[in-house]
Amino acid sequence: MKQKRKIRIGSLSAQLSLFILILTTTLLTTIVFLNYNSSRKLVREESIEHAQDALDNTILRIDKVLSSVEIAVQNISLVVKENIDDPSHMYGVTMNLVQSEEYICGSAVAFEPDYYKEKGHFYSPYSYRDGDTIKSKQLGNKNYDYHYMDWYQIPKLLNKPYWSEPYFDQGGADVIMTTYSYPLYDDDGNLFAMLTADISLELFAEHVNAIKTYPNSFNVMIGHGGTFLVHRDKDFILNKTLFEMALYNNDSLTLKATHDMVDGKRGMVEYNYGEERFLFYAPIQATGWSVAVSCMHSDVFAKIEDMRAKVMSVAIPGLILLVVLCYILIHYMMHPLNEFAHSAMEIARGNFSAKLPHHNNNYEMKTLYKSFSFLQNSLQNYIDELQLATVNKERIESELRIARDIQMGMVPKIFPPFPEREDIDLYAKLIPAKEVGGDLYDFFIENNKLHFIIGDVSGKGVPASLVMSVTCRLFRTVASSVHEPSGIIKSLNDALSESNDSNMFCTAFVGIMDFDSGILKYCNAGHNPPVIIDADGNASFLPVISNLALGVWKDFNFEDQEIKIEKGSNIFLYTDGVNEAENTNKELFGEERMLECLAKYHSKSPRIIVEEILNEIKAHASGAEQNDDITILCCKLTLNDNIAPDCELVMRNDTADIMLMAEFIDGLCEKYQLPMDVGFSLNLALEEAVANVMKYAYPEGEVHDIVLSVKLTDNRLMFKLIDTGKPFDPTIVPDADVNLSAEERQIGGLGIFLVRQIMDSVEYRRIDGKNILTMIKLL
Amino acid sequence: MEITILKENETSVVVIEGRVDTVTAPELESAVKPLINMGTSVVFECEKLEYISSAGLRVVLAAHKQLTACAGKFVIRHLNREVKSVFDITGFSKILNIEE
Repeated sequence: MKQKRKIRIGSLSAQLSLFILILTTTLLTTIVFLNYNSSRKLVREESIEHAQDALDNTILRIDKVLSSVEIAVQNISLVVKENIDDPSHMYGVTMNLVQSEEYICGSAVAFEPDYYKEKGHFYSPYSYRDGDTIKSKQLGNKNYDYHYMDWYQIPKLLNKPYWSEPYFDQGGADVIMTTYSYPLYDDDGNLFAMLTADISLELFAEHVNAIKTYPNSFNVMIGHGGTFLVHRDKDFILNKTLFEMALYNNDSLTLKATHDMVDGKRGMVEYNYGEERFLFYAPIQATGWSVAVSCMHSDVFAKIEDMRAKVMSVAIPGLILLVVLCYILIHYMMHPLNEFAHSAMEIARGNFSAKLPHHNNNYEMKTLYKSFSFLQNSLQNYIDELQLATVNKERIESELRIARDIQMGMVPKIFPPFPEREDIDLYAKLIPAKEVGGDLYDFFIENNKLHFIIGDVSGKGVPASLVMSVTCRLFRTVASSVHEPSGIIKSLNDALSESNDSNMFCTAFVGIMDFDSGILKYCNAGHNPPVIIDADGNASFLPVISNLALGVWKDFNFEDQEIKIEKGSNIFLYTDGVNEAENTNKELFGEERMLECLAKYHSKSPRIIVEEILNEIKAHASGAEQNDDITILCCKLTLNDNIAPDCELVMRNDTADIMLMAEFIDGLCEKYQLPMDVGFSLNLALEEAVANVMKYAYPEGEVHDIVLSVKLTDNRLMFKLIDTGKPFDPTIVPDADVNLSAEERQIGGLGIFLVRQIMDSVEYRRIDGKNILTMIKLL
Repeated sequence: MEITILKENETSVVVIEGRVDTVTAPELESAVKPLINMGTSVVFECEKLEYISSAGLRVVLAAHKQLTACAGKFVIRHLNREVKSVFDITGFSKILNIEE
């Protein structure tokens, strides 16, 4: 009962587990996929927002710096105007400005050429930071003509304050800087000086880079022409433009974004220069520059990747655990099924008391248990009943077998029945459809008269067999005292009609053949008309008055009939089991076919005729079950047996005398003018028959005579071989099988086969201690 | 019956004339026996064989069985019509090497 713990692919447990695995995996994957996608979208949006915020924050800080510078400059401009008459005061003004804002690294008040006559063509007091101190100097000279500098020229032309493009200032602080230039006008509105504040680009870079949006992000700032102002790579600053980068990488999206940036728009672009990145950008309104944040994809989606890894780390072990648990659970649930299968096998082997697994843990198993118990009980009961029925059936069958033996014992079964008579040969056979039947036949010779009957009781089986046995016994009793067929029939009819409560009836044909006169007297009681086959093979029905079947009407007046039967004829009696034998298509054997067969085999002995007819019926039935009793009685009145032969040869039982026989046959051929091939085959057949007798009939050393006689009548050449040796019937020796291979063929056994092949009829009788073998050859 | 034995290379040719019947068959048997024991090729020349009975067929079948058993060769040739019919009836035509 111990089940092997082994995973079987075909088992229900494995299949269910697999099914659940596939289902959950699909479901989970779908959920995770959808969730991942929407999360990714959310994260992307959030990340963009985050980056934008950071960007805005940076811009705000820059703007704050710029505006604070602008305000400081505007405030100081008033001081300049107030002290316009004191040129030397301007150093203090610039110093104040540098001092006022930490972002300002330098400041100048650059006057128009020759504004102060005493100061010359260039006058530009300039203060700047040098470490912690603030130094001042005069900026302009011949080599440094600030009047043509951008920071001076552009605001002068624009008539408004201006933030210059960052530049490397060699005249001033020697750093990359941008300059805020604020034009100063006198009361007439004429420009007289430019107040400037320098801001180191490094300061901007500090501000721009102050915000680190993601671990791997970096910020850039570009000027009006796309020139890098802030970049993580210092070499890029003022040396490269974003346009160059975009063109170099042949990236139209970045190119467009650069245009947008230069045009003062804000936005976002994805690019890939070796790694996937986002670029968020926004303008600084005050200067027209653009600030951008570059973030790595992986940083932006770091959260979602992290989430995915976490989900997977839970999902995969979870699925495995699920499958294992499912398998164990299902296996546990299904376990009783295996036990039931085992029990069913036990029951199938015949062990009806096999123990059933009792599992009460669920409804289905309880139901199965009940069904199995019911099956077990039903089977046990059924088998018991079957055994009882079988015993009963066997008893009935055995009784029926005995009944069959008794019934068969009631009809003559020893053939030839009259071996002492040479003028008659008779053979009969009764084959019941069931164990016992309602057909009957009987015959006996009394006063050189053959009395015979054939009959068929209505119905089959046991009831018919009882009537049959009564009829048989009555015939024997009545026929020995009554000498008219009608008288016998009448007596039988009276007896059967008497108290015939079950309304059984019996058709019968009774005949009395007088051998002295050759007259057959007969009376028919509703039976099939018999067939007479004459010596030439013409088969015809005997003319009969049908009368009435026995047991129908007590006082019926049955009529006798009579006919002369020629020698050499066969009388063929049968029951309707012969002509009404059916095949599987319900086609009858038929009288026509029966007559044809009789004509075909008429020259054979009654035994052969009967056997051949039965073979033909069997062939016709082609496997169909016999549905009625079959009875055949065939009687042959042998031809002129006692007529003297034409000639005869007497030989000794010495094979040397075979030579005599060969000469004898040569003589016959001449006498009867037989063709050569007939002579040859007669020689062969007779040699075989004679040699057989010479070799085996007598003990070694004894000398006896063997007589071979010949008689020709019409076209029948009849040979008789007579010896006084030990009884031997060559007609019952089985035919040699001529289809065997050389290795299987037995040496010998061919002689009798050849006799039967050559001769048209071979009959054997043992009369008065003589073996008489009659062989007929039709010419 | 008359029997003549000729040698054609390795083959023994047994020329049979007249009748082979119950009386003469033993003669044929004893004449053929040494040839069969040699286990070589044997031919029955039957052009002049007039008659054969089962006793003769028995000798023929025995010769065939013994020769084929020791890988020899056994041939019957030139049977006349009547004798051939005996071989046909008995099924011997199917199992023996018969040459026209």
